[in-house]
This record gives sequence, C-alpha cells and structure tokens, in this order.
Amino acid sequence: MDVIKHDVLIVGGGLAGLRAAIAAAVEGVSVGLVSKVYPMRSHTVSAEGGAAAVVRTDTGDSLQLHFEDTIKGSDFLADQNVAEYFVQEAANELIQMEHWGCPWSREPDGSVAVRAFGGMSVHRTMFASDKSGFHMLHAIFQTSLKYDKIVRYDENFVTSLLVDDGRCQGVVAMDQRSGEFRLFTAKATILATGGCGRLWAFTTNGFINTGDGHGLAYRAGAPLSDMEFPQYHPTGLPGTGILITEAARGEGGYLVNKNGDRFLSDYIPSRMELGPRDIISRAEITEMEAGRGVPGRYGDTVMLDLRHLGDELINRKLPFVRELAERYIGIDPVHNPIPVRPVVHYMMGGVRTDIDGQSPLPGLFACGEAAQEGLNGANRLGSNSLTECLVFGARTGRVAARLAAQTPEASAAAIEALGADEEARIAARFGEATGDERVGQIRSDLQLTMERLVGVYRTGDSLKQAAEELRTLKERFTRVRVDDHTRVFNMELQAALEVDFMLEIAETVVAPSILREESRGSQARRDFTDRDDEKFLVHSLAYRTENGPQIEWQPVILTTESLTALPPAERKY
Amino acid sequence: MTESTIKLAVTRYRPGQDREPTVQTYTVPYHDDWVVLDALQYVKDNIDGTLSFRWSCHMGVCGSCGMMVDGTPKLTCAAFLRESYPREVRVEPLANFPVVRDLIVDIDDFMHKLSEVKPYIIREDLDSLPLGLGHELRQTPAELEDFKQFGMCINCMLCYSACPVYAMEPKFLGPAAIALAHRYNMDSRDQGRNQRMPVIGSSEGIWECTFVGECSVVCPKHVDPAAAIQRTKLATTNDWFKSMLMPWGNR
Amino acid sequence: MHAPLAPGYRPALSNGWWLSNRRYFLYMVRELTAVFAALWAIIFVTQLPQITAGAYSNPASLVSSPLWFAFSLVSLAFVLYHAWTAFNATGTLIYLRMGPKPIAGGSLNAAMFIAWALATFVIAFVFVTPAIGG
Repeated sequence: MDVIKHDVLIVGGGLAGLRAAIAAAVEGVSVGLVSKVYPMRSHTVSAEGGAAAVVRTDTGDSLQLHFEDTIKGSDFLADQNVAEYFVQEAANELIQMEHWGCPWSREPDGSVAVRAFGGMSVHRTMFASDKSGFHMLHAIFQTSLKYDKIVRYDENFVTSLLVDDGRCQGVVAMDQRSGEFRLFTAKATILATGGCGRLWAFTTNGFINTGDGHGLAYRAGAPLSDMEFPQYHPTGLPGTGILITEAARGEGGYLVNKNGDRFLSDYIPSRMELGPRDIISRAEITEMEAGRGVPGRYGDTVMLDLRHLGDELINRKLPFVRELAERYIGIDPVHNPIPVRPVVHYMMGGVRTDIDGQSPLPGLFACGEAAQEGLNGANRLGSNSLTECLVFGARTGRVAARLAAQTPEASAAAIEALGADEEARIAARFGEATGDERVGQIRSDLQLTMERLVGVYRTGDSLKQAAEELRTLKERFTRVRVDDHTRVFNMELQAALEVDFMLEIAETVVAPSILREESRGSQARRDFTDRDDEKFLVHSLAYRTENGPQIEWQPVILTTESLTALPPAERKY
Repeated sequence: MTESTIKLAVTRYRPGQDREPTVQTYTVPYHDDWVVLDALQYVKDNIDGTLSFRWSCHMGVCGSCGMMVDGTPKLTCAAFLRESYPREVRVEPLANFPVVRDLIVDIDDFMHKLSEVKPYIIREDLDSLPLGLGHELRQTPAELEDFKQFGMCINCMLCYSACPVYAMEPKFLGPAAIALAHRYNMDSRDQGRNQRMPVIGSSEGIWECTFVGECSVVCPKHVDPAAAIQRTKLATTNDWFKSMLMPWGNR
Repeated sequence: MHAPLAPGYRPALSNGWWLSNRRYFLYMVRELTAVFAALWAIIFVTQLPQITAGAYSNPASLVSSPLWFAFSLVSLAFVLYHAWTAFNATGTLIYLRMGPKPIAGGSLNAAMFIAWALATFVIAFVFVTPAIGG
C-alpha cells in the first residue's frame, strides 16, 4: 500500500479546510489536502447570505455587540472565550479574503458593504451579492493554487483515521480514480469535512454532507459534542429543500401566513423577520399547526414575500434567490411570494475541540462545521459560520503546523499494518455483500426517521422512538448488499461507507437530545419547554461504545479576557 | 391511476470491462418537477447501484453534475425531465473529455490549466497589507462590475464540452481558464496581468480560439467566456502595437 | 494527485459535428464566407494592372466575364454576411465603461453599423461618383 507523508494532513477542501491549508503552508510545513470532491464542489459553495464581522463602525457596531449577539443567539451555550476570539479575528479574516480577491459587494466610496441578518443587532454581514459562499470558496481555492507546499488529493474518500500509540497519525483513504487504498501519514490531522445535514430528508445540504468527519473522529474515540442541536433554517423551498437566503429577509422580505399576516409580530415583535433562526422556525411550525399554513404539493408552508422590494433591488442584491425560485418552483419573487418551510441547514454540534481546534485525541484537530469549538452553542447566528470557517480554520492550521514541527515521525510498520487491516475490513464488509438491503433504501429510511421524529419540536417519546428505529436500521444495514464490485469510481461502495457513518452519527444526535430535558436554542422539547441552566448549561459529549453513544457533560466557559462576559439570562428579544 | 414513467438512455462505461461505452435504458417515475439528476439518483438507489456519476449541491452552483442531456451539455440539476417528456432522455458523459467511468469524466487537464493562468490576486504588497477594520482595498461598484461576470464561473466544464477547438486541440487552454484569467486581469486590485500573459498569449492560449461562441451559449452562469477571450485578443494586440510604436515604453 | 490513472475512454469528435446544431453550422458558414472574400480580393488585386489598362471594356478579359460577375455577386453576399457577423460581435469584443455603467454591447454594435453606412455613403458619393463622372 502506498504511503504518502505530510506534516499536516487536512481532510476536506471547503472554506475551513482551505483556510487551514494556507495557514499551515505559510508556517512552512508540508500540507496534504484530501477531499472526496474537488475543493470547489465543497458545500461552502452553496452559502448565500454573507459573513459577519465588525468591518464598519458607522453602523454603531462594536466587538462587544457582535460578541453579545453571538452569545445571546447561542442561548448562552457558547463558550464565551471562543466567541470573544472569534469576533476579534473576524474582520482580519474577512479583509484577508478581500485581499485574496473575493468580490465583496461595495458602497459607492469603494468600502465593503454590510447587510442586516437575523439575530445581529446592526448591519454587519459582508456579502458578495447572494452568492457569498461561492465567491469566497472560489477565491480561496484559487489563491491556494499558488502555495507549492499544499498538495491536493482530490476525490479521495477517507475511510478511517490511523490511531497508533494514542495519537492520530494520519488517515486511510480510497482513491476513487483507481479504487486503490493509500495511507496518508501526518503529525497533525485536521478534519474539515463540514456538516451532516443529509441525515435528514429535507435539508439544504448537498449530497456530500454525510458527516464523514464526525464518523471518523467518533470511531477513533474522539467525542462528538452538542449534536442535539441541528439548525433549522426558516426558509427552504418545499420539495428540494433548496435554501432561500436569510438575506432575503435582511433586505426587507416579509414572512406571512395564509391570511397574509406577518405572524412574527406574535412571536418576536422587536425583531420580526430579523430574529434568530430557531425562534422563526418554531413560529412557522406553530402557525402551520394552528391551521394558518398555506397548503401545497409538499405539505404546508408559509410565504416569503419580496414583492415590495422591487425588481431593481432583487436583481442587484438577491439575483440567485430569483433564479432559484424561478427554476425550481416556477415562481418569480418579483411578482409572487415564495412558499418556504423550516429546513435542516447546519450542525451546531461536531467534533469537540478547544479554541485551537485540538480534539481530545492527540494529533487530531477539527475546524469549520465539522467542529464544535464552542462558538455556536445551541443556535448559530446566520452569517457567523463562513467567518467561523476562516477564523478557526486559520488558527487550527497554524497550531497544527507548529505542533507538527515538534512531533517525531510515527512508526511506519505499525501504520502499514493498520492500513492493511482497514482495507481488509472494508473488503470483508462490502466486497462480497450479498444481503437483501439496498444502501439507498436504508439511507432514505434513515432520513425519513430523522425527519419525522427529530424535528423542530421533539418529545422524549419521539426521540426514544427514533433511537429504536435507528437500532433497527443498523441491524438492517448488516444485511446491506453492494452490487458494484469494481474499483474505479465505485460510488456505491462510497455511499455504503457514508451510510455506515451516518447511522452512527444519527445516534449521537438522538442520545443527547433524549437526556437534555430542557428547551434551548434549536432543541425544542414539548415535554420540557423551559431552559434549565441549573442542569443543562453544559455541552454534551458523545463517546462511542459498543452499545451506542455514552453521553458525558462538560461545563460551558463563561469567562472572557478583554470583552465583558455576558452572564446567562433570559433570552429576550 | 398508474404512475407515469419516462425512459432514460444512459451511457455506461466500466474501464477494464468495456472496450467502449454502451447504452443502458432505465425506466423511472416521471414527475414534472424532477430534474435529470433526480432520475439518475432514483436509478442508483432503486434499480442499479452500479451506475456512477458525480453530484453535490442540487442547486446549480457546485458545478459537479455537468453531462450531455439529449446531446447538449447541461447541469443535470437544472435540466428538467419535462423538457424531454414523453420522449426518452439521453444522458451521456460530457463530450470532449476522457471518460473515466459511466458519466464521470476526467477534468484534471482543466485543473492543471487553471493553475497555469495564475487565478489569484497578484501584487507586490499582498502579504504586507494591513488587515482588519478599514483596511480593505477600495473598489467601487463600477470597478467590481468590470470583472464580476467572469468570476461567476463554477468550473462545470460545459464550455469545454461545447468547444470544437478544444475537441480538436486538447492543448487549448480553453474557455473557463481564460475567462478566469481575464477576471483577475480586470480586477482593479490586481497587478499580475504581465505574469499571466505568457500563458494566455501563447499559441495554446487565446489565439487557438476561432470564436465559435458556443461556450457562452451553454454557460449556465452567463459568464461569456467567448467575450473574455476576444477581449484578451484585442488587449494583447493593443499591447503589441504599443510595443512596436513605443519600444521605449516600459511594458 | 492520484494513484496511477485507470485507462479512460476518449471519444473522438465526429466529422459531422458542425451539423449537430444550428450555431455550429452558422459558424462554419461564417468561416467559409471569409474564404470567398479573401479569394475575390486576391484575384482582384492580381487583375488590377489589367483593370487600370481598361480591362472592363475588353470583353475577353477575366473581369468582364459573366463568371467573374457571378462570382463577385456571390462573394458580395458572403462579405455582407461576414461583415454583419463581425459588426454584431463588436459588443462582445469591446468593453467600454464611462462612469458607473459599461456601454451596452447593443449600442456598440449599432455604432458600428452606423459607421459602416456612413463609410459606404462617403465612398459612394465622395470618391466613386465623381471618379466615374456621375
């Protein structure tokens, strides 16, 4: 088996992975970037609205304000030292992106423009029309091409982490082009694999967002944290789940029910459409349950009305919203309201790391959506996540590079043995699989289970039912059949490996949801409707055992260094 | 009521097994809001797990799912079955690229050419510019308009697939790579044009293009690579005249 | 970077590719019309000495033959078509921005057609008409 050596190995080529790669390359170490897709296909590309930072002060903005919005948005579950570092570094990173060519939208004087976003008390979201993620990803990917220290391994699927001597020493990956397994050894390994929205049926996430990084870390013994908090975005297109950006409301769009009422006045009158996502998604579900939804082909929706914004503003600031609505549901938002409903969008939870991106497993780091470094708590504010990828991608890349420079090489023999074992495991598991279950069918059933039982509102019973169904699905998966036994681009084998991860990760979502007997941020329990800081001002940690996840709890960090900490209080807008 | 169906005629090619591609026909449910990609996914999940293709975002921005649909290069996430129904839909791998397997083509050639054109901001002071609040390089909305269209490229490769010049001369840099070079040349923050010109202006660069113009027709993002190439030709010609007329000029 | 590449299949471009859609066909027509324009110009230039010596009034000369007349007529039609395609590409070729908005491609195309009409008028009435004594 080929062995490829790097100082720092990064899994995932989206915004966080590329930012980490450049940061590590600048430190002078050799960087390997392994991704199951070409970097510009990564899901960062689908982000629309923008990235938040204090880049203007004429709006009345300050670091303290961005910090407080973030903490309050998180329903006080964010680690405050992490949020502090985040707001301090945010502007540096976004301006760095500007110097790297990102085509940010501008004011007439040439300075960068900012727009309103949910949960942000002033205009502070930088944007590149409504394709911010696309432009940021292409700008940073193209910039990464000038660093000789970065070697890319595109379309390589990582199947497991190499853990030897209590450290993560790299990964085993399958090169899709040849079907060959290869060993990538590294002194520091960074997971930047994004989220796992594909656990649900109705999601804004691309087909690739199967949470491979979560699965890799979990199996290697690192804990997944705060997985009970998936974010429901209030405005997904029915049917496909395609995202209609929050910027549509930031620019002044209204949410109305079937009577044409702006129903948010009953829920969050001070912020209306610019409230945080968890609150608005719950309001939408409540409206539908009260019979004030608009019936449609794919069930009830509410309506996003942009008509009063006018042709010119929509074309200039929301052209992609118009394109998507016209193409996928045949509605021109200039003339008609867009039907929307809550849709799974983002994972607040992920691989538990400290502020440096370091996980409890030595040698293993994580950043971006794959990580739970403490920024987002129980609810992320819109437009904080692109910035999060940059701020923590950069820091993790730097720290990993410095660690790598002081770490001796691993024992080659032990590593090669681990690689051989992994290839044998996959061959034994899927090579001759002759069962009666299809990969696609199990994935689909998993997604429907999560959709039905682990939604915006949950109860202890629905969650226990979900846990039960997951056990059945795992049992069915032991009988899965892979028809494709060729090597080149065996996408069925890759899909089977992904679903194998997904079934385990789904358990790490459900288990802490059951135990967290409170409502906080995106976890809304009908049987425990209040927040309970006495018991649950803590992060959940899910560790893998043979009998499913074992949950531990870890206190939230409530202290800061220079900004003023925000003690937990009732979350009122 | 019986469910309506539609036939998909899909190109199959398994390296080492097939000497050349064959066509396999699948019958899938017909829905008027399904795109070709939905139908392919249905096949993979329910009929034949061995069919391989790339896809990710399902919203026309990641650039993964370009294929020939009824003979025309398209993003399969934006090509609706209703455009063909009730006729069968023919799905083939993107033309002009080596087929690796089934509907998957090899785009490494483009990835290499993309790096060749230095698609990033080049300026001497880049690494010493201060960061943070107030330190953006100023760029007016009008200056942004000068290049923004050419930065909309999603690298989906439809333009290469539509380009007969690329089909006949695979060394041709091609539409997307040149459009992206032009995007940086036109960016008011960039000073790297002279470093890009040796590649762009080479015999395998802009001068290969005979302005068929089909690249701009098939581009799903209205990038207009044909315009980028013709404008670069004009600018290069101007440079040449200037250097002839004013050889002392410091260009 | 990949492990050694699996052998791929590279389909060849078919000879009839330019018939597969209307735009490819029109492109080929555009290219072909240039050949006629060039051919006509080359023949005309080689005949210039005879023309200045009065070949138009000599029925035996090439330029007085019906064949040349017919060829010239076809070439004229092709040149007009070629010029039309070229002028229509002006907006694609030239990017001009004065102030905040670039000049629309259509306006640039129109400007070319106007300039063409003016040039034709000037040549016809300022140079050619006096020369043939009209």
